[in-house]
Amino acid sequence: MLGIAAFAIGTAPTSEQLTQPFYVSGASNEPVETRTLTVEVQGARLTRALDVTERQTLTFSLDVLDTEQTWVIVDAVVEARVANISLDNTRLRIGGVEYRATDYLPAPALVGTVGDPGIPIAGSFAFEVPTAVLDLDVAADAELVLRSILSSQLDDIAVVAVDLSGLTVTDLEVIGSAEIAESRE
Amino acid sequence: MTSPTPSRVRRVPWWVWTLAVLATVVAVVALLGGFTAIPEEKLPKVAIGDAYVGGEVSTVVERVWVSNQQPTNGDFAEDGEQFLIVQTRLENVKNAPSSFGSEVLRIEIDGVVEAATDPDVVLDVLRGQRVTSLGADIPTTVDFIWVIPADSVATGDTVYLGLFDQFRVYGDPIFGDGAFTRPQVVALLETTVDDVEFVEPPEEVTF
Repeated sequence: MLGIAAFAIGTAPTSEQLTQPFYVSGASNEPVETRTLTVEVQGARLTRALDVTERQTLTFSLDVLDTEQTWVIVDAVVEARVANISLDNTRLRIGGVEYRATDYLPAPALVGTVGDPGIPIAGSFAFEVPTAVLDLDVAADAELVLRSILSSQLDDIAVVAVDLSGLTVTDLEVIGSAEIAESRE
Repeated sequence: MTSPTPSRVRRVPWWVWTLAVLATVVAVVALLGGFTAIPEEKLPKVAIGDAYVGGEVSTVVERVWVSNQQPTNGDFAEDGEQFLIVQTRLENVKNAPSSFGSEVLRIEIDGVVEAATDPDVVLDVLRGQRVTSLGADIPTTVDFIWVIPADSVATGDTVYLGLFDQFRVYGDPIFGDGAFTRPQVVALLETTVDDVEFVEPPEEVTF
Protein backbone atom coordinates (compact mmCIF):
# COMPACT_ATOMS: atom_id res chain seq x y z
CA MET A 1 0.00 0.00 0.00
CA LEU A 2 2.85 2.35 0.90
CA GLY A 3 4.45 1.66 -2.48
CA ILE A 4 1.25 2.42 -4.32
CA ALA A 5 0.80 5.64 -2.33
CA ALA A 6 4.37 6.71 -3.04
CA PHE A 7 3.87 6.02 -6.76
CA ALA A 8 0.61 7.99 -6.79
CA ILE A 9 2.20 10.97 -5.04
CA GLY A 10 5.33 10.81 -7.19
CA THR A 11 3.44 10.79 -10.46
CA ALA A 12 0.61 13.18 -9.56
CA PRO A 13 0.67 16.48 -11.47
CA THR A 14 1.79 19.54 -9.51
CA SER A 15 -0.58 22.43 -8.92
CA GLU A 16 1.54 24.36 -11.44
CA GLN A 17 0.88 21.71 -14.07
CA LEU A 18 -2.81 21.50 -13.22
CA THR A 19 -3.30 25.23 -13.72
CA GLN A 20 -0.88 25.92 -16.55
CA PRO A 21 -2.14 28.20 -19.31
CA PHE A 22 -3.15 27.17 -22.81
CA TYR A 23 -0.69 28.44 -25.41
CA VAL A 24 -2.28 29.53 -28.69
CA SER A 25 0.50 29.74 -31.28
CA GLY A 26 0.53 31.44 -34.65
CA ALA A 27 2.71 33.13 -37.23
CA SER A 28 3.38 36.77 -38.03
CA ASN A 29 1.07 38.50 -40.51
CA GLU A 30 -1.90 36.33 -39.55
CA PRO A 31 -4.44 36.81 -36.76
CA VAL A 32 -3.91 34.76 -33.61
CA GLU A 33 -7.06 34.54 -31.53
CA THR A 34 -7.29 33.73 -27.83
CA ARG A 35 -10.18 33.94 -25.37
CA THR A 36 -9.47 37.58 -24.60
CA LEU A 37 -7.74 39.07 -27.65
CA THR A 38 -6.81 38.86 -31.29
CA VAL A 39 -3.28 39.86 -32.27
CA GLU A 40 -1.63 40.21 -35.64
CA VAL A 41 2.13 40.85 -35.70
CA GLN A 42 2.97 42.98 -38.72
CA GLY A 43 6.75 43.10 -38.52
CA ALA A 44 9.85 43.70 -36.45
CA ARG A 45 12.61 46.31 -36.46
CA LEU A 46 15.98 46.59 -34.69
CA THR A 47 17.47 49.88 -33.54
CA ARG A 48 19.98 51.39 -31.17
CA ALA A 49 17.66 54.14 -29.95
CA LEU A 50 13.96 54.85 -29.71
CA ASP A 51 12.56 58.27 -30.56
CA VAL A 52 9.75 58.67 -28.04
CA THR A 53 9.31 62.41 -28.47
CA GLU A 54 5.54 62.04 -28.49
CA ARG A 55 5.68 60.86 -24.89
CA GLN A 56 4.32 63.69 -22.77
CA THR A 57 4.84 63.66 -19.03
CA LEU A 58 4.76 66.27 -16.33
CA THR A 59 8.01 65.00 -14.87
CA PHE A 60 11.51 64.40 -16.19
CA SER A 61 11.39 62.65 -19.51
CA LEU A 62 13.63 61.71 -22.40
CA ASP A 63 12.95 62.18 -26.08
CA VAL A 64 15.35 59.43 -27.08
CA LEU A 65 15.60 56.13 -25.28
CA ASP A 66 19.15 54.82 -25.59
CA THR A 67 20.41 51.38 -24.74
CA GLU A 68 23.77 49.72 -24.31
CA GLN A 69 22.19 46.77 -26.15
CA THR A 70 19.62 46.68 -28.98
CA TRP A 71 15.95 47.56 -29.12
CA VAL A 72 13.62 45.10 -30.81
CA ILE A 73 10.42 46.77 -31.97
CA VAL A 74 7.46 44.54 -32.78
CA ASP A 75 4.61 46.24 -34.63
CA ALA A 76 1.22 44.69 -34.06
CA VAL A 77 -2.52 45.17 -34.14
CA VAL A 78 -4.33 44.01 -31.01
CA GLU A 79 -8.06 43.77 -30.51
CA ALA A 80 -9.73 42.98 -27.21
CA ARG A 81 -12.52 40.41 -27.49
CA VAL A 82 -14.52 40.41 -24.24
CA ALA A 83 -13.33 43.43 -22.23
CA ASN A 84 -10.46 45.90 -22.37
CA ILE A 85 -7.20 44.19 -21.56
CA SER A 86 -3.86 45.04 -20.03
CA LEU A 87 -0.74 43.95 -21.90
CA ASP A 88 1.80 45.16 -19.32
CA ASN A 89 3.15 41.65 -19.05
CA THR A 90 4.01 41.18 -22.72
CA ARG A 91 7.32 39.40 -23.35
CA LEU A 92 9.63 38.59 -26.23
CA ARG A 93 11.02 35.07 -25.87
CA ILE A 94 14.34 34.23 -27.52
CA GLY A 95 16.10 30.95 -26.84
CA GLY A 96 14.15 30.35 -23.64
CA VAL A 97 14.85 33.79 -22.17
CA GLU A 98 11.97 36.25 -21.80
CA TYR A 99 12.52 39.99 -22.29
CA ARG A 100 10.01 42.49 -20.99
CA ALA A 101 8.32 45.18 -23.05
CA THR A 102 9.29 48.68 -22.02
CA ASP A 103 6.51 50.87 -20.71
CA TYR A 104 8.41 54.05 -21.59
CA LEU A 105 6.48 54.75 -24.79
CA PRO A 106 4.13 57.51 -25.92
CA ALA A 107 0.64 56.96 -24.55
CA PRO A 108 -1.63 55.37 -25.43
CA ALA A 109 0.60 52.38 -26.03
CA LEU A 110 -0.04 48.71 -26.51
CA VAL A 111 1.75 48.15 -23.20
CA GLY A 112 -1.04 49.42 -21.05
CA THR A 113 -4.76 49.03 -21.35
CA VAL A 114 -5.88 48.23 -24.86
CA GLY A 115 -9.27 49.56 -25.94
CA ASP A 116 -12.74 48.20 -25.85
CA PRO A 117 -13.77 44.95 -27.51
CA GLY A 118 -14.02 45.04 -31.26
CA ILE A 119 -11.73 48.06 -31.72
CA PRO A 120 -8.37 47.06 -33.25
CA ILE A 121 -5.43 49.10 -31.97
CA ALA A 122 -2.21 49.40 -33.97
CA GLY A 123 1.00 50.09 -32.10
CA SER A 124 4.40 48.83 -31.14
CA PHE A 125 6.07 46.85 -28.40
CA ALA A 126 9.74 47.58 -27.68
CA PHE A 127 12.11 45.16 -25.98
CA GLU A 128 15.68 45.75 -24.84
CA VAL A 129 17.65 42.65 -25.84
CA PRO A 130 21.37 41.83 -25.53
CA THR A 131 22.93 42.50 -28.94
CA ALA A 132 24.81 39.20 -28.88
CA VAL A 133 21.55 37.26 -28.61
CA LEU A 134 20.32 38.69 -31.91
CA ASP A 135 23.33 37.18 -33.69
CA LEU A 136 22.41 33.67 -32.53
CA ASP A 137 20.39 31.19 -34.58
CA VAL A 138 17.60 31.31 -31.98
CA ALA A 139 16.81 34.87 -33.10
CA ALA A 140 15.03 33.38 -36.10
CA ASP A 141 12.64 31.60 -33.74
CA ALA A 142 11.74 34.48 -31.44
CA GLU A 143 8.21 34.60 -30.05
CA LEU A 144 5.97 37.44 -28.90
CA VAL A 145 4.12 36.24 -25.79
CA LEU A 146 0.99 38.18 -24.86
CA ARG A 147 -0.42 37.55 -21.43
CA SER A 148 -3.55 39.61 -21.09
CA ILE A 149 -3.48 39.37 -17.30
CA LEU A 150 -0.70 38.92 -14.74
CA SER A 151 -1.80 35.47 -13.68
CA SER A 152 -2.59 33.33 -16.71
CA GLN A 153 -3.52 30.15 -14.87
CA LEU A 154 -5.95 28.13 -16.99
CA ASP A 155 -6.23 31.00 -19.48
CA ASP A 156 -5.07 31.47 -23.05
CA ILE A 157 -1.72 33.01 -23.91
CA ALA A 158 -1.04 34.14 -27.48
CA VAL A 159 2.40 33.16 -28.80
CA VAL A 160 3.33 34.64 -32.17
CA ALA A 161 6.47 33.63 -34.10
CA VAL A 162 8.71 36.57 -35.02
CA ASP A 163 11.80 36.11 -37.20
CA LEU A 164 14.52 38.51 -36.03
CA SER A 165 17.31 37.10 -38.18
CA GLY A 166 18.91 39.21 -40.87
CA LEU A 167 17.33 42.49 -39.79
CA THR A 168 19.34 45.68 -40.12
CA VAL A 169 20.01 47.64 -36.94
CA THR A 170 19.17 51.30 -37.50
CA ASP A 171 20.43 54.22 -35.42
CA LEU A 172 16.99 55.53 -34.50
CA GLU A 173 13.37 54.45 -34.87
CA VAL A 174 10.35 56.58 -34.10
CA ILE A 175 7.70 55.12 -31.82
CA GLY A 176 4.40 56.93 -31.97
CA SER A 177 1.25 56.49 -29.95
CA ALA A 178 -0.95 53.49 -30.56
CA GLU A 179 -4.01 54.34 -32.59
CA ILE A 180 -7.19 52.78 -33.88
CA ALA A 181 -6.48 50.56 -36.86
CA GLU A 182 -8.68 49.80 -39.78
CA SER A 183 -11.00 46.95 -38.97
CA ARG A 184 -10.06 43.68 -40.62
CA GLU A 185 -13.65 43.02 -41.65
CA MET B 1 -9.61 -23.75 35.26
CA THR B 2 -7.68 -20.52 35.63
CA SER B 3 -8.38 -17.38 33.59
CA PRO B 4 -5.48 -15.95 31.52
CA THR B 5 -3.53 -13.26 33.38
CA PRO B 6 -3.23 -9.92 31.56
CA SER B 7 0.27 -9.05 30.38
CA ARG B 8 2.11 -6.71 32.72
CA VAL B 9 3.83 -5.03 29.76
CA ARG B 10 1.31 -2.75 28.05
CA ARG B 11 1.74 -2.17 24.34
CA VAL B 12 2.90 1.40 23.55
CA PRO B 13 0.41 3.06 21.14
CA TRP B 14 1.75 3.82 17.60
CA TRP B 15 1.16 7.55 17.95
CA VAL B 16 3.50 7.75 20.91
CA TRP B 17 6.26 6.31 18.76
CA THR B 18 5.42 8.80 15.99
CA LEU B 19 5.55 11.74 18.39
CA ALA B 20 8.80 10.49 19.89
CA VAL B 21 10.45 10.28 16.47
CA LEU B 22 9.20 13.76 15.52
CA ALA B 23 10.42 15.23 18.81
CA THR B 24 13.83 13.62 18.26
CA VAL B 25 14.11 15.08 14.75
CA VAL B 26 13.14 18.55 16.00
CA ALA B 27 15.60 18.31 18.87
CA VAL B 28 18.46 17.26 16.60
CA VAL B 29 17.71 20.09 14.11
CA ALA B 30 17.55 22.60 16.98
CA LEU B 31 20.81 21.31 18.45
CA LEU B 32 22.49 21.72 15.07
CA GLY B 33 21.28 25.33 14.91
CA GLY B 34 18.70 24.73 12.19
CA PHE B 35 16.17 27.13 13.71
CA THR B 36 18.63 29.90 14.46
CA ALA B 37 19.03 32.84 12.13
CA ILE B 38 22.53 33.12 10.68
CA PRO B 39 24.38 35.70 12.78
CA GLU B 40 25.27 38.80 10.78
CA GLU B 41 28.97 38.37 11.46
CA LYS B 42 28.87 35.05 9.62
CA LEU B 43 27.36 36.50 6.44
CA PRO B 44 29.71 36.78 3.47
CA LYS B 45 31.46 40.13 3.07
CA VAL B 46 31.81 41.85 -0.27
CA ALA B 47 33.75 44.95 -1.24
CA ILE B 48 33.14 47.89 -3.53
CA GLY B 49 33.41 46.60 -7.11
CA ASP B 50 32.78 42.96 -6.16
CA ALA B 51 29.81 41.18 -7.71
CA TYR B 52 27.43 39.40 -5.37
CA VAL B 53 25.40 37.01 -7.52
CA GLY B 54 22.09 36.21 -5.88
CA GLY B 55 19.33 33.95 -7.08
CA GLU B 56 17.85 36.67 -9.28
CA VAL B 57 20.16 39.63 -9.45
CA SER B 58 23.91 40.19 -9.60
CA THR B 59 24.83 43.30 -7.60
CA VAL B 60 27.98 45.36 -7.83
CA VAL B 61 28.16 48.37 -5.51
CA GLU B 62 30.27 50.96 -7.31
CA ARG B 63 30.20 54.07 -5.17
CA VAL B 64 28.56 55.77 -2.19
CA TRP B 65 28.41 59.56 -2.13
CA VAL B 66 26.33 62.50 -0.99
CA SER B 67 25.18 65.42 -3.10
CA ASN B 68 22.69 68.24 -3.00
CA GLN B 69 21.84 67.46 -6.65
CA GLN B 70 19.95 64.42 -7.84
CA PRO B 71 22.23 62.69 -10.36
CA THR B 72 19.71 61.73 -13.01
CA ASN B 73 17.39 64.69 -13.38
CA GLY B 74 19.52 67.48 -11.88
CA ASP B 75 16.93 68.44 -9.28
CA PHE B 76 18.29 70.10 -6.17
CA ALA B 77 17.51 68.94 -2.65
CA GLU B 78 15.21 71.02 -0.49
CA ASP B 79 16.80 73.35 2.04
CA GLY B 80 18.23 71.34 4.91
CA GLU B 81 18.36 68.12 2.92
CA GLN B 82 20.75 66.27 0.64
CA PHE B 83 20.83 63.04 -1.32
CA LEU B 84 22.67 59.93 -0.19
CA ILE B 85 23.41 57.98 -3.37
CA VAL B 86 24.54 54.37 -3.74
CA GLN B 87 25.45 53.63 -7.33
CA THR B 88 25.21 50.01 -8.38
CA ARG B 89 25.47 47.86 -11.45
CA LEU B 90 22.63 45.34 -11.44
CA GLU B 91 22.06 42.43 -13.77
CA ASN B 92 19.09 40.13 -13.76
CA VAL B 93 20.57 36.63 -13.96
CA LYS B 94 17.24 34.83 -14.41
CA ASN B 95 15.72 33.98 -17.77
CA ALA B 96 12.74 36.30 -17.26
CA PRO B 97 12.19 39.87 -16.04
CA SER B 98 12.79 40.44 -12.34
CA SER B 99 10.97 42.93 -10.14
CA PHE B 100 13.50 42.41 -7.34
CA GLY B 101 15.97 45.09 -8.48
CA SER B 102 14.89 47.83 -6.09
CA GLU B 103 15.00 45.40 -3.16
CA VAL B 104 18.57 44.15 -3.46
CA LEU B 105 20.23 46.72 -1.25
CA ARG B 106 19.67 48.73 1.93
CA ILE B 107 22.06 50.99 3.82
CA GLU B 108 22.69 51.80 7.46
CA ILE B 109 24.45 54.91 8.71
CA ASP B 110 24.50 55.32 12.43
CA GLY B 111 22.04 58.02 13.43
CA VAL B 112 21.18 58.96 9.83
CA VAL B 113 19.60 56.03 7.98
CA GLU B 114 18.22 52.99 9.77
CA ALA B 115 18.85 49.60 8.22
CA ALA B 116 15.26 48.92 7.27
CA THR B 117 14.61 52.26 5.57
CA ASP B 118 13.53 51.97 1.95
CA PRO B 119 15.25 54.35 -0.45
CA ASP B 120 13.21 57.39 -1.49
CA VAL B 121 13.76 56.46 -5.11
CA VAL B 122 15.61 53.82 -7.14
CA LEU B 123 16.54 55.09 -10.59
CA ASP B 124 17.89 53.71 -13.85
CA VAL B 125 20.74 56.16 -14.43
CA LEU B 126 20.70 55.94 -18.23
CA ARG B 127 17.05 56.92 -18.50
CA GLY B 128 16.13 58.52 -15.20
CA GLN B 129 13.25 56.07 -14.82
CA ARG B 130 12.24 54.40 -11.60
CA VAL B 131 13.39 50.79 -11.62
CA THR B 132 10.31 48.61 -11.54
CA SER B 133 11.70 45.63 -13.41
CA LEU B 134 15.08 44.45 -14.66
CA GLY B 135 15.28 42.80 -18.04
CA ALA B 136 17.10 39.48 -18.28
CA ASP B 137 20.81 39.72 -19.10
CA ILE B 138 20.74 43.53 -19.34
CA PRO B 139 23.34 45.09 -17.01
CA THR B 140 21.89 48.35 -15.70
CA THR B 141 23.43 51.17 -13.69
CA VAL B 142 21.03 51.90 -10.86
CA ASP B 143 21.14 54.62 -8.19
CA PHE B 144 19.55 53.98 -4.79
CA ILE B 145 18.79 57.41 -3.32
CA TRP B 146 17.83 58.41 0.22
CA VAL B 147 16.99 61.96 1.27
CA ILE B 148 18.96 62.71 4.44
CA PRO B 149 19.49 65.81 6.57
CA ALA B 150 22.13 68.21 5.25
CA ASP B 151 25.53 68.01 6.95
CA SER B 152 24.64 64.67 8.57
CA VAL B 153 27.35 62.74 6.72
CA ALA B 154 30.98 63.60 5.98
CA THR B 155 33.46 62.23 3.47
CA GLY B 156 35.07 59.13 4.94
CA ASP B 157 32.17 58.24 7.24
CA THR B 158 31.60 54.50 7.50
CA VAL B 159 28.46 53.08 5.97
CA TYR B 160 27.10 49.54 6.11
CA LEU B 161 25.26 48.01 3.19
CA GLY B 162 23.18 44.86 3.30
CA LEU B 163 22.67 42.90 0.09
CA PHE B 164 19.39 41.03 -0.12
CA ASP B 165 18.00 38.00 -1.89
CA GLN B 166 14.68 36.23 -1.97
CA PHE B 167 13.95 32.54 -2.23
CA ARG B 168 11.30 30.68 -4.16
CA VAL B 169 8.36 29.14 -2.31
CA TYR B 170 6.85 26.08 -3.92
CA GLY B 171 3.18 25.12 -3.84
CA ASP B 172 1.77 28.47 -2.74
CA PRO B 173 -2.05 28.24 -2.81
CA ILE B 174 -2.34 31.40 -4.95
CA PHE B 175 0.91 31.73 -6.90
CA GLY B 176 1.81 28.05 -7.19
CA ASP B 177 5.56 27.77 -7.63
CA GLY B 178 5.87 31.47 -8.46
CA ALA B 179 5.91 32.84 -4.90
CA PHE B 180 8.94 34.13 -3.01
CA THR B 181 9.99 34.64 0.58
CA ARG B 182 10.43 38.13 1.99
CA PRO B 183 13.82 39.62 1.05
CA GLN B 184 16.57 38.45 3.41
CA VAL B 185 20.03 39.91 3.95
CA VAL B 186 22.61 37.55 2.46
CA ALA B 187 25.84 39.56 2.34
CA LEU B 188 27.36 42.65 3.93
CA LEU B 189 29.48 45.47 2.58
CA GLU B 190 31.31 48.01 4.72
CA THR B 191 32.68 51.08 3.02
CA THR B 192 33.02 54.84 3.40
CA VAL B 193 31.31 57.86 1.90
CA ASP B 194 33.37 58.68 -1.17
CA ASP B 195 32.51 62.34 -1.44
CA VAL B 196 30.13 65.02 -0.18
CA GLU B 197 29.59 67.35 -3.08
CA PHE B 198 27.79 70.65 -3.19
CA VAL B 199 26.62 72.01 -6.52
CA GLU B 200 25.65 75.68 -6.51
CA PRO B 201 21.98 75.83 -7.51
CA PRO B 202 21.13 78.29 -10.29
CA GLU B 203 19.65 81.57 -9.16
CA GLU B 204 15.89 81.58 -9.25
CA VAL B 205 14.50 83.72 -12.05
CA THR B 206 11.55 85.85 -11.06
CA PHE B 207 9.27 87.64 -13.48
